[in-house]
Amino acid sequence: MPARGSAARLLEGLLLIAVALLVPLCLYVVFAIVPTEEKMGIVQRIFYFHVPSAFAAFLGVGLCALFSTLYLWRRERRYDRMAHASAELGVLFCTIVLITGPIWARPVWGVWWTGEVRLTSTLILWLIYVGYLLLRENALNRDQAARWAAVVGIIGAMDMPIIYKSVEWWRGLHPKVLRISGGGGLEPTMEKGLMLCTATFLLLFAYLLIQRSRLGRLQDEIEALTHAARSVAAPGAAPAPNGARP
Amino acid sequence: MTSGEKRMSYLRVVALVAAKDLKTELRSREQAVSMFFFALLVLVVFNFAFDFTVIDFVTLGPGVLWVAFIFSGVLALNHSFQIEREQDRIHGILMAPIDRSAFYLGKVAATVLFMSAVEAVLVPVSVLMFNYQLTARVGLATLVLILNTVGFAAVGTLFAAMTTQTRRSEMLLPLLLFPAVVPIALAAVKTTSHVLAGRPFDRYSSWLGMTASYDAIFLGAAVLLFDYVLEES
Amino acid sequence: MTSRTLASILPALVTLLQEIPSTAAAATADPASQAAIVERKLHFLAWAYTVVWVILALYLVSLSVRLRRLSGALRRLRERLGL
Repeated sequence: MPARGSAARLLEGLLLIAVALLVPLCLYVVFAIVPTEEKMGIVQRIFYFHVPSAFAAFLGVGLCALFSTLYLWRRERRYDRMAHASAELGVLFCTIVLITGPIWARPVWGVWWTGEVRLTSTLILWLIYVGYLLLRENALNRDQAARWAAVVGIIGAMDMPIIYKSVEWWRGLHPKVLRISGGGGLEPTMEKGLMLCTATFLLLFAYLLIQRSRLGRLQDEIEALTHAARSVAAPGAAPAPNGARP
Repeated sequence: MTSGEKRMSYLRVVALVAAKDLKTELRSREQAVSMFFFALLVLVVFNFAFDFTVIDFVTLGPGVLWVAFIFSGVLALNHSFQIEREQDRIHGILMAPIDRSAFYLGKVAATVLFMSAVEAVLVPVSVLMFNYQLTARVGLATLVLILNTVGFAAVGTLFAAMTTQTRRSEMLLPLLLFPAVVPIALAAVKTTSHVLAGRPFDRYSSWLGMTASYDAIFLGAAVLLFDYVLEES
Repeated sequence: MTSRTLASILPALVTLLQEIPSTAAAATADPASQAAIVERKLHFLAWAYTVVWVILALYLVSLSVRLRRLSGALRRLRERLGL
């Protein structure tokens, strides 16, 4: 597996710089530029981190399913590494959503947990992908972990829209009635602020994805070399490390 | 082989796998008994936990019933693969020139049969235990119970095939399965509630539609994905 | 932290969280209580913001620590194998 090319390094560096610049900009915009929302007050500004985190979480889940499918099709380890990294980041951002949600809800609606459709579905999503990570830990070997995780990653992503729908129906919306679009429009400044924060979080996601995949690659390389060293010392003793091309 | 012959042998494999599990069970009867008593125990605990003279069974009952069914269903799923490991049949299955998805469907069928048996007994028992006025149409009630059970068993069998090979299977199967079958759990409670109370079908037809879609989608997905679960490592 | 300490802290923590007064319930008539409400909301906002960045920072730090450790291990392994 060739070391990171200069193009890849450049991309990484650019991403890091972009994120490092955007984060303070976001903070400034969220606290100084954007107007205060009428009904909820300044607490509503949590929305500018809460919503982009949710987007990042869903991106993680979607990418995990994509890379899982690619892995099962091509059996190239790097797809599995990216699936794992995506899932881990998905759980990370999901955690942020699940913590900021109640913190936002408490002063506004008086309760920590409102049983709201999106938050409940996000909780279930979090549980599924925590299960994904735990399953990987408990598989017998690297190859099995990759295959099983791919299956769960695909099933989980397929399940999400159905889970969302079922929770929505359960909460009382009649299945035949169209969902009333909530909240009304956003003020243009708020919308731009949200887009800025979303872009920041997505770039941060991309940067973290690259780093986390790199970590996975290092782990795989170490495992491969360790195994090679062992079989040189005692030829034919251990079976070959399972299958996939890096 | 002609496609007709191939189709026949696929279904035969499914039937054989299911029949084998049933025969094993008829001989030892350990699983059905433990499933039934576990589910019964859940009902008993809820009977003590809530005062059903005050609370209407219609409100809480279907939830209680499905908690019982789901917990005993997890027992069935674990057992379903444990017997394979005990008799070290996994290798045999991997070697055999059968479609592994046929093995999967056979397992699902067997689990559905076991769970349905428990459900068939426990619904009348709950009627007695909770002094409930049952006004269900048996045909529809059966359909509702079976459709929801199939959804649970479809995803459950896929996940159990993986988790039963790990050391922490008792923790992993519920952790993975329960969030994944939330749509079934919600639909099951709703549809069971309506059907047991004898309400008109269109009150819950959308929910039943969701169950049926879930069944189709995940049976299909699992049939495609099952090969990857049991590979020789 | 022993499990007993945890077991004694946990109920107290839950009660405390329940008692953090909900701003929505409070009457919003007079300016004094208004100021109190804004202060409480600022409090929650600060917490949320802190949580977000602390979690992200912790993850970033953990990643870079692990990356550095593994790179070192890989380098040493390569040297040992004479690659």
